[in-house]
Amino acid sequence: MRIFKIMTKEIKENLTDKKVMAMMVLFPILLMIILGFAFSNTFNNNFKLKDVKVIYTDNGSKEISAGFKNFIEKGKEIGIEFKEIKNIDQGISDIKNAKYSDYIVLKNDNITTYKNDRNGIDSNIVESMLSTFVDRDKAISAIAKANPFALKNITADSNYNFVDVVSLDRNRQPTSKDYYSVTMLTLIILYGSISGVYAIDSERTKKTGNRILTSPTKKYEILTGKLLGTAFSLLIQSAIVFVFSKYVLGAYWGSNIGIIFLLILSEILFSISIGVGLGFIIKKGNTASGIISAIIPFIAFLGGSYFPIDSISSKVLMQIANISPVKWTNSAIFQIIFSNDYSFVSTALLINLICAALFVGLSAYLFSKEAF
Amino acid sequence: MKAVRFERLTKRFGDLVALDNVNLEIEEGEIYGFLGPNGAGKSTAINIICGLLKIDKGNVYVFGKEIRRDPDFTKRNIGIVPQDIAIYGDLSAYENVSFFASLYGLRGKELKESVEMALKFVGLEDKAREMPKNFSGGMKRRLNIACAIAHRPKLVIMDEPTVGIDPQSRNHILESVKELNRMGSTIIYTSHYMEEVEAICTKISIIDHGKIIAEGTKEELESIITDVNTVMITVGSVTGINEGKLKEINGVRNIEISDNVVKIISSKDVNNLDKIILYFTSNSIPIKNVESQTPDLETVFLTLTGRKLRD
Repeated sequence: MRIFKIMTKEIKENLTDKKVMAMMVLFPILLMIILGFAFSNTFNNNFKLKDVKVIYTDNGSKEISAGFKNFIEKGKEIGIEFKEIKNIDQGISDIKNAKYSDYIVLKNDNITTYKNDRNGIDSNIVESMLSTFVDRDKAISAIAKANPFALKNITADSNYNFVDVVSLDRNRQPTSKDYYSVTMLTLIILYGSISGVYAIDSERTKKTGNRILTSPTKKYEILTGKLLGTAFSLLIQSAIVFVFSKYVLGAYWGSNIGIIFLLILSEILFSISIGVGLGFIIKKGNTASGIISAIIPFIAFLGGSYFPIDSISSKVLMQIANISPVKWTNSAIFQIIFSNDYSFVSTALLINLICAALFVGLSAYLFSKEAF
Repeated sequence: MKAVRFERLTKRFGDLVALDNVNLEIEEGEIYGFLGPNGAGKSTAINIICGLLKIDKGNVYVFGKEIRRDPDFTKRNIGIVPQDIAIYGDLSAYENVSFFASLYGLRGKELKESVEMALKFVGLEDKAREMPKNFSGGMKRRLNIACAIAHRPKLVIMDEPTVGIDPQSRNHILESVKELNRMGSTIIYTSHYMEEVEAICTKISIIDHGKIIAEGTKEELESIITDVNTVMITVGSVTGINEGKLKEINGVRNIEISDNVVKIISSKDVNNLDKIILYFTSNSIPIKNVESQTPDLETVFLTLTGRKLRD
């Protein structure tokens, strides 16, 4: 019951503080609006398969050439442009200059592909198709050796797909409004860690912490009440921002709100736990919040909060970006909304919850050693 | 029954001995004054009773129970009015009192009645829905008290509850202390204002350097000082008075200067008034009045500790 009392006290304090509400609700909403409009052209680059251009040189064996022609036909059906060239060096040079998405070279029974990282998505699609083609071709060769009669049925079935395009929502790509609705929400949740700092520090500065400790309240009750109260406040603030982005700005959040809510909740726990932990480690609230304010822009940048980090096309940066927890949360949310892809969810949840658990443990340890 | 009992209580902070083998007994129903200069050990003693500091050696009993064995019992029966105002500025006066009272297990109708009683007791019933951030210093102090008494503790510890407030609020608080005592609470009261301690405390102890150096009623403490005379000299201006030179006069023990009054405590067996007067006249310091004073608590304190209470 005391946990509930401390929790409700935290919520009341947080939600009635006009400065905090302006920072946590108005600020992200304003950013969503401003960035959404400012970068609307930048994000107006809907991916079309027609934009994918592939060059090839066919010096392959008779069998592989025949199969590859089939591959080209299928590719053309879904909008990929193919162009044959003879000069391999020229082809490689064109790829270096990002004139084409991929360069495929057939020599005898071997297939070599050249790609440029700048055409990441295009290349991946072509590679994926080619890989399916090669696997199928190998299978056909193997069957031909073992059971030539079965081959007739397989080759007769021409309705196979080289690439699984089911996951790709070709009708919708994130607009600037969609993009910044997600990233500003996850960004402001990161800033919510400052609320965690002040949940501890304010009891110090107001001298109320020791007053609570003179009551029969246990330390674990105080810590739990503080964590839950601050997290719930942040959840309410996040919900307001979410509702505004969805129903006022009209941002697209997909149809799997439940999983997105789970990711948001895990980021809230992550953020609040770090804040509370720092509140115990660093005895001055202003110093702790200053450190957080200095670190967040860096983490947010890597997480793609300000613009998509992959647009920079730097492998090193992409590697470094993996250290940003918000990168995983953002990626997971975007994958769910625009690709129905849940593969990042467990990683994002694990990162958020493990970090939260570590900082809660640290807070509990430090709190057990001393008063506020 | 003893409300509080210290048994050879010792507390150290590194090399500093904050409480040195202290023995103390506070009877139930008393208003017990704790006097001592800053750093004497008062707050350490209070923080130990409240469970905020750990005991190094010795024992502390509250209403007969050792505080480490039954900390919940102790905490339920204590209300602390901290020296610093410890309230939430953005919660209403009612919400503040209600929050702290609820931590003691009060619920529902009992909680509501207790909160209303506490606010009425400190004269803030009309301000119940207002935010303390808009209160005057005196009102905040009164709310600070309300938060400590809503759960009706048997022992109320008040640590400098009147610091920095107007005389009206101070009088209200002093009357509240006496009323709380009449209602059955034992009070431990610390203050820098000697007149407050003199006015309300039934028993007083003087603590210095972690030790109780004197204890008793006001009259008992004043009777300790039988070997000194106190002379109060009112002068035109205290500029030019050299305390060191005055202390060189045979028999002078302590000097306290405030406004235009010089208080000189001398050994009773030394007749030095003529030399003291001579010091003022020879230094062209005009004397307006000279009077002899019977020892008061301030004199007792100054004599025993060599320091003024507000040093």
